[in-house]
Amino acid sequence: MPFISLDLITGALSFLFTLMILSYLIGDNPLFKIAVYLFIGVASGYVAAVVFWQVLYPKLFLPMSNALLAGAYNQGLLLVAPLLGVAFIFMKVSPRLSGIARITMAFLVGAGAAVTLAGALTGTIIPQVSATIDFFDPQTAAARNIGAFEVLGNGAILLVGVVTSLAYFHFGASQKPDGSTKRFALIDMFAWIGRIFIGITLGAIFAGVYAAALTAFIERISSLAIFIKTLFGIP
Amino acid sequence: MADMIQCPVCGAENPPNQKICQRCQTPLTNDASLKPGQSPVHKDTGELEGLLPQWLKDARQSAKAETPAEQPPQLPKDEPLTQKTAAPKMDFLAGLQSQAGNEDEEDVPDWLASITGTASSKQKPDEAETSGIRWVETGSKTDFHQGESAEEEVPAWLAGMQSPQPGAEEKDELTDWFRESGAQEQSSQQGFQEKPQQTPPFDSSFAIPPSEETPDWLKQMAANAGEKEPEPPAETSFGSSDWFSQPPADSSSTPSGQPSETPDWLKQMQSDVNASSQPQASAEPFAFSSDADTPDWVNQMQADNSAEQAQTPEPFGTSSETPDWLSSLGSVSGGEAAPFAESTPAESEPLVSGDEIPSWLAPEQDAAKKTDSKPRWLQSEEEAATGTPAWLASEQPASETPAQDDMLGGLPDWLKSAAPESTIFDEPAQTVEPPKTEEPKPQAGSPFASAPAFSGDAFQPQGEALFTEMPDWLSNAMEEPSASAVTPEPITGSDALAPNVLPSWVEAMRPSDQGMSNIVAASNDVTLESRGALAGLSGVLPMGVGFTPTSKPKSYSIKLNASEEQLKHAGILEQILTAETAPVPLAFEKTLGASRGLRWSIAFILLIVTLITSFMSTRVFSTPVGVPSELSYAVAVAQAIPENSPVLVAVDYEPSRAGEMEAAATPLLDNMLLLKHPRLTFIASNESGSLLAERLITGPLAVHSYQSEVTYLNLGYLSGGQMGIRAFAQNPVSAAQLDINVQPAWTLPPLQGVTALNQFALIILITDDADTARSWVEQTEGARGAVPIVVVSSAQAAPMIQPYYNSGQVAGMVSGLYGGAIFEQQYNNGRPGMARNYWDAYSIGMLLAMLLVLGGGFVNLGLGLRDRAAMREGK
Repeated sequence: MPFISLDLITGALSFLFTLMILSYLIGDNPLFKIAVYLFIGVASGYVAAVVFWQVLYPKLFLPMSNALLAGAYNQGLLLVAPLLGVAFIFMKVSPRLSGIARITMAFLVGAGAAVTLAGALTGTIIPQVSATIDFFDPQTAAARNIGAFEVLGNGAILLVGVVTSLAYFHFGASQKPDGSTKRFALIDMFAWIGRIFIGITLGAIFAGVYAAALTAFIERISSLAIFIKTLFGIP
Repeated sequence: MADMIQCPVCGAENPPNQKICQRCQTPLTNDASLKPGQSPVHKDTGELEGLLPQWLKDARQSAKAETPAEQPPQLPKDEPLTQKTAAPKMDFLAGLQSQAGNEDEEDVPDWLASITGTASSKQKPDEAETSGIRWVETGSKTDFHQGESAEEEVPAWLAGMQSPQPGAEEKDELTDWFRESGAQEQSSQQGFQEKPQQTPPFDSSFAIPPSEETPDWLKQMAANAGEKEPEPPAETSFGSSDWFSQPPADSSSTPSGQPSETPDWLKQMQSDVNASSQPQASAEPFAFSSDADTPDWVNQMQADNSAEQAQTPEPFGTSSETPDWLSSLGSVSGGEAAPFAESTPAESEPLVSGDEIPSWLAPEQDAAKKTDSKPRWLQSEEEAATGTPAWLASEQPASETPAQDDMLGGLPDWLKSAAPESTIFDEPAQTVEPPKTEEPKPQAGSPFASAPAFSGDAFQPQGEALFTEMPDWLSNAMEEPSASAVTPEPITGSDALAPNVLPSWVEAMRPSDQGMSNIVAASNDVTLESRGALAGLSGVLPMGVGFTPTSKPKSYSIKLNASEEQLKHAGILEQILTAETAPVPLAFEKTLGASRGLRWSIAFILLIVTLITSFMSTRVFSTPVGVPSELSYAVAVAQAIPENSPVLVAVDYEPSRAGEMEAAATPLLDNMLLLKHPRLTFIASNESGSLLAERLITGPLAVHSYQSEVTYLNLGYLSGGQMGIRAFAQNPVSAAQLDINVQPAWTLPPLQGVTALNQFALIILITDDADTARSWVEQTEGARGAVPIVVVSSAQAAPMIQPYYNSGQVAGMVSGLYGGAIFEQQYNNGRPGMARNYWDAYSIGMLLAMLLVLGGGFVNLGLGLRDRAAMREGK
């Protein structure tokens, strides 16, 4: 079998597992489950290996051993905190001691929330608000080689879309004497316009999802075709 | 013999119809011993036969052999001593039984015993036998003279009463000795009038030897007593009773030596003492000092025990010391009514004896004029003047006269119990009627009219008949009334007590059952519980006194007084509760379900189209011509970087999106690698990013022959999500020190001169997730400085990343297959051609999707119009 190469083996496995996944078209079946289980198992093992070799070893064990060998105990002491965090996380293995892991998880959640909030404030909210305002800035438009009319048109659409979309998510309403509730008329009108923009946005997202899925499907079918052509020597 | 009635006191057998013992005049019926509330209990003192010491058994054996010759002819023949049933029923052995015998055979109830001072039947036999313990129970030992040896001061007749078991032999022998001489002495009993409580009710058994046979020392002692007032010793009040304080073992083991005329029983005692190597002189009953007036046998006893007396705390070396009881006689003769304790003579007073009636008996006879021959306990009865027996009357003045209490309490139980049972209450007519105290002449029939205590006659061979029958003195006491000139007056009238009849004051002292009756009444509550856990039980919870309801319970109205507003609110609340529990029907909308046929049809179309276009490599559909601004800016930025400049490529997409992402990113990277030869540094914020980066550089970009750690570097997985990205943005050297091959990354050629994020020429973010793109944009906002970010995104994430491009935070975008196809076709001369290979299938798929969506929309529109028309027609 001289023509059997690693590419052929990988191609065959890829072909086989692709068919097994596509078998879900006829419903849930053992082939699909086997493919899914294998993918989950391989992915988990891969992730574990990656975490050890790319996180724990280079960022915890190796620095600690180096610090101990070099006598830099101060640096080694600094690594005790992540080591304890790892030990606490491992306590989740035991239901009785899983509560200890809350210490590490509390640290992670707290730090993550702070980082996310700070990043969102400085990286999204303020820049986006500022960008929306700058749409009407002629100098900014000139820097992008955008004409004044286009700036007004794009800015107007963008402004209307943002305002009406935000108005759609304003759910405040007043109560009538008969007990029924109704939005304020202006808000209700903006909300209705905002629904159009939101619909367009969702349509664009759906088109993007469909395009991404279709591209993935085409890539898989193309890989099957290439494997078959390669297998059979079809040019 | 089965019909014969055996006397419970003397053991003599009597005819069946005999109610009084022919020998000892003791009532043969058990009624006398019965007390209210008691049932007769059979007593068998013969069981104590085994407890008798050997010497006593020997004495009884010898008495058995000689009794037929010694017994009076009128008495029935005694049974042999070997028979256990006969001997214990004698008077003295009866007392022995009461003390050392079975506790169960105690006839005297507790309430009566507490009155009479009789020891409780619950006492242990050992305690009952210990006279010292009796003193503890009934009084203080210090009330009696302890310094003198008890055996030295105690008369022989008292010594016999001292010990119940071992001393019983002495007692019985002495009693027998008394019996011999009791008939001759009558006046001596008068000497005991002044110490009535010392003499137990059983004193009737004591016999005072006749004056003719009274030893000289006794006479001398009596003379001294009559001559001067006795001086009460400082520490004693009843010196003559010291023998009571001696343990019974002492008295039982200290018979001293005996002279030639010493009776056999004393010889036996002496021999026992010599054999036993227990020289306890304190227990010697007759350790009198040698004196000329002392009888020879007493002197001999003293001489033999001289060695043992030396061990006594206070030996009887004071020869002049007179026994207290004798001193008291002297005091009595002097007409003194002082307590007996005060009549104890001084220690220097020698004992005086005479040939004839002892001198001390002479005044005693004078004193006897004031008394009578009746027992002392009968005299106390008269003094009580309440018709109460003397032994019971002694209980009343007990608190007033300690001397009486001491004497009564010091008596053995059998003496206490014997007096009322057999002589007084049972047969008052039969008992010797005590003459009136005014009668001066002695009472011949008195039990005390007996021989002197130390008369030589007492040690006649008749003593061998000890324990075999009723003592002679008692028999004489019963017979004397008829022979005596003074007939004892029977207790008649109010003084006479019928059997089983108790005086009123005794009845009053009996334990009252009133309290118990209350308890019984409470327990008789038969209230039947009808409810609760106790239902069916009666009397479980008796009602306490005072808990009976005294008034009708107050009635309360159960009507709710609510205002209109409260009722309205209650109604609203009720409606709310009802609405919450009531099911609300949902308005279902007719939806278009994903039918299998439609699903299979769409799948089949897409599969066929894709396969055909892939296999055939068609170029039916042209690539897009129009270039979006974001793409043009991305190309501009990519082409603006310096040559061989470091470029950071973040690969953050899932393997499932690898086809799309590689198709979108490859044209950009290929163009850049081709034109600028940048030093690529790959990093990923997901676990699979590093592997996808290797796939990308070794797959579609393999034509550029980029070498790891030479022209490109894979830093691998950047853990921590947004925190990791922020850490890397702030200090990339610290956040990712090593590359995927665990080598120091920042010293390798791809990162030469790069120590911060803003030192990279370009940051290319390849991601299929808008959140990942947002994280990179947000967290690197302040660290990257002027370094542009070009985002290669999936088609699904492009709409969400577009605002960052519009805001200028992202320099350019290449989104999906559409962007890759444009970049490949417009800016990369069709390289690598991957997007173009997919483009026909992609275009067909997009058209098919548009057709399906439009077709489905039209179908739904038609169905809706039809339904609406049907509804109109239906209306």
